[in-house]
Amino acid sequence: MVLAARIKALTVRVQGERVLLLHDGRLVADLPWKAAQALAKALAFQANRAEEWAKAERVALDQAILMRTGAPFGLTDDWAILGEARKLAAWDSRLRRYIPSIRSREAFGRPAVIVEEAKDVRKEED
Amino acid sequence: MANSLYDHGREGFLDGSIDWDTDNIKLVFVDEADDTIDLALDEDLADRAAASRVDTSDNFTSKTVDAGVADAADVTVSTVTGDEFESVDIYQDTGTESTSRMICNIDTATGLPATPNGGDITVQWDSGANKIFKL
Repeated sequence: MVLAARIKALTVRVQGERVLLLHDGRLVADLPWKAAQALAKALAFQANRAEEWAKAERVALDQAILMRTGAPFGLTDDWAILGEARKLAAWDSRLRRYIPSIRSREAFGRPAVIVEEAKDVRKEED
Repeated sequence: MANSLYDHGREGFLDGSIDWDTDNIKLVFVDEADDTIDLALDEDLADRAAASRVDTSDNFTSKTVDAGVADAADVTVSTVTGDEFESVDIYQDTGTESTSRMICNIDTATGLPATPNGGDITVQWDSGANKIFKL
């Protein structure tokens, strides 16, 4: 959290074959270029996972839409989000209504709703 | 949009807590603008907002269950006033909202949405094979 709050004060510089990470002008890390590359990859990977959690609800809903439509690919490999997506795909009333691909087997007739004219009280009184 | 059984309605038929031809079964006209339906979670009449219930029928009559097909005589609700309604819920009436189990929601019917005008409103069930619904 401290890092996130002061991210603007962080500076990354190159010095020959090394990558330097400075915070408020003070050296925090002095890395060989390969280690810096590995650190950058790890940071990007973890940042993506953190973003996935921050947007978990949206990811679960999008995944549920894909499941409901039968699209054979996933948006996440996180089991918790996939579990939520499975629940949404099966039970979310909006998805059930608008993407009715998982059909229940019951069948309905088509009724008619007939609105009759209101009785004219004055005519009856006459 | 599709006519659907509530999950708790299905459950009721399976566990025997709904007996179509002996229980009191009623319908209610529902203004969907005042309540968001949840077919999985809405369990009883209390789960449908009171403001969304435009009017309620008397008990269905002449109910039959032959071959798993639910049928009844056409239902007329007298002198209906209130908001336009988009769907019709059928429920098992116990006299208490919180125990009156939801059975099905009908949002696809000739004449829906309908706007009450103070006159009677009749729900005429399909005379085909599926009648009101078939399990």
